Amino acid sequence: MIEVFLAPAPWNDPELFGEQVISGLATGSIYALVALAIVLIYRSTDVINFAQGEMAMLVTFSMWSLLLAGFPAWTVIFIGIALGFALGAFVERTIIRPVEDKPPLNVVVVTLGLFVFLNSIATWIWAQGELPKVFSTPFGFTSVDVSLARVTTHSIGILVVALIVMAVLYLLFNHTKLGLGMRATAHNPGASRLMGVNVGRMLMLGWALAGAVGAVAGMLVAPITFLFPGFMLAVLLYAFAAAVFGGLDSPPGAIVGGLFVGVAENLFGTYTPGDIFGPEMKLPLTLLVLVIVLMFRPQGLFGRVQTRRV
Amino acid sequence: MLKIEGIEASYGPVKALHGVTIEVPEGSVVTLLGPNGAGKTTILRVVSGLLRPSAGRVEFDGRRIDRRSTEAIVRMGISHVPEGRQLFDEMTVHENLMLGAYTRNDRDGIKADIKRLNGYFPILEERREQPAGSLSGGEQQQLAVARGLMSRPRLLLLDEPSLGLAPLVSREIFRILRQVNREEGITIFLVEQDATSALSFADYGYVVETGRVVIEATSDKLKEDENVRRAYLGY
Ligand SMILES: Nc1ncnc2c1ncn2[C@@H]1O[C@H](COP(=O)(O)OP(=O)(O)OP(=O)(O)O)[C@@H](O)[C@H]1O
Ligand SMILES: [Mg+2]
Repeated sequence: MIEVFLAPAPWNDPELFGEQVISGLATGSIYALVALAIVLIYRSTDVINFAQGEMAMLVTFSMWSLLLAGFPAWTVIFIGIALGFALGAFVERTIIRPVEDKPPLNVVVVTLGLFVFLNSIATWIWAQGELPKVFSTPFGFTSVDVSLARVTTHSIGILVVALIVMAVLYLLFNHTKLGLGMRATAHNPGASRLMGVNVGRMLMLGWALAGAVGAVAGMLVAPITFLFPGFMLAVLLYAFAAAVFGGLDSPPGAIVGGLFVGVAENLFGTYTPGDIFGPEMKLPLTLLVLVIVLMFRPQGLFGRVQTRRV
Repeated sequence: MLKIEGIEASYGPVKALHGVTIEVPEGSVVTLLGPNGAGKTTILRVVSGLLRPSAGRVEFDGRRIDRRSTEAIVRMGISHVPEGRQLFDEMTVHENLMLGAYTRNDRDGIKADIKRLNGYFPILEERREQPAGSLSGGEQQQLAVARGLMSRPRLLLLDEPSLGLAPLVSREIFRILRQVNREEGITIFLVEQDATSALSFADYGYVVETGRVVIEATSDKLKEDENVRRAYLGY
């Protein structure tokens, strides 16, 4: 008889299924955070930031050094977020602004260049000695029972943190004047200027927020993958897929896309028919689903159809 | 109140203004006429700080503003309702109005102003939570004017507010603008294609052609002028 499932079928082992879904939601919310960072920047500056993952990587490595130097964990977390914020703002001011009104390909080259640059810096500073480095989590890796499934405290921590970040961003964008100005700038920078919005500051703030959100994602991933200069690469790939899938200009799309990719990845890995595909096919299968959906909805699940850009 | 003196401005290598001088006295309505591409929009862009003039100066209340940021100019009391409305299409009518009040921090005053503007434009109250892009052309123009008034300007720059509107709707907008000018004392600098409406509304008018002022006179005189009549009034 052909073995249809690599693992026991969901109805035979609902606990395994539940575990896969929950841990999928946890990794998915990390993809969602990075996707959100990408979307934040794309919406406000029309730039695809290929260096998003490497910016987070640099921050996470810096945090590792601070931890090693004996700073308390919560202080380091706070510094990490602040560092991500500052790095985002700094990058926008210094290297993005000069190419802002140049052809889009110039910006692509600039963010790719930044990617390589940050990666080299991290390798130069941190790659002597042992790699990968262990990065601890304040949540621990204890297994706990949640109704159907057993999941780690870190997974739960990820979900809670991601939820908090999303809630904060939601409140900022929809219930503050600053958020109103940032959304207006993303929609129509020229008109925003006429309203007295400081457009340059809004763009910088968009990058800063993306930097901070990316940093949070970095510190959540590192305990799982351990720390090495390329540790955000896979995350960035999944996050890109998630962002495009959700619609590059839609924050809710980034979240839904990220969660979808995380869960799909886990389920494909667990349940693909063993005689046909191995679990290593989970990424291509996940991407295949995205490609098929995008064939029918090129603007992504929640993206708006690009008719004109003012 | 507004003094534009000998401004020149270019888009890259193309010079759009060759020394334009215009004065807008406090409390008045001044209109700017001219064919397509004459430089009318460019003049307004220089006044609101979107474009730096390469020569000349702009003064508002005796203070030089041609080197200031748009944000600073809005705060000084100039509001620019741009050509083509430039609303935030995906945001609600209410959010558009709040953006008009972006430079203000007096919550109660903003609330009161929205209420007052709803008196002028009742449709905006009805459509409050609708995306601006879903309004009709006339409603959008009303929103653009209302948004422009939300910053409590003392000088309102209007770039072709009647463009693409049915005559009835356009007349309604001019009626409200007249009211705004008379009752609230807001000075108006108006760029308009529809010269008949503009000249019956304005006290004084300028005609620009290829980046230069070619005629200036009171509206009544302009209405009599042979060239103006032929070129802009069509009789
Ligand atoms: N963004 C731009 N880039 C290059 N040239 C421009 C730009 N905007 C305007 N111009 C040029 O500057 C000149 C003046 O344009 P402007 O928009 O001020 O004219 P206008 O009088 O407002 O015309 P219309 O009645 O069509 O609105 C024109 O020759 C136009 O081609
Ligand atoms: Mg124009």
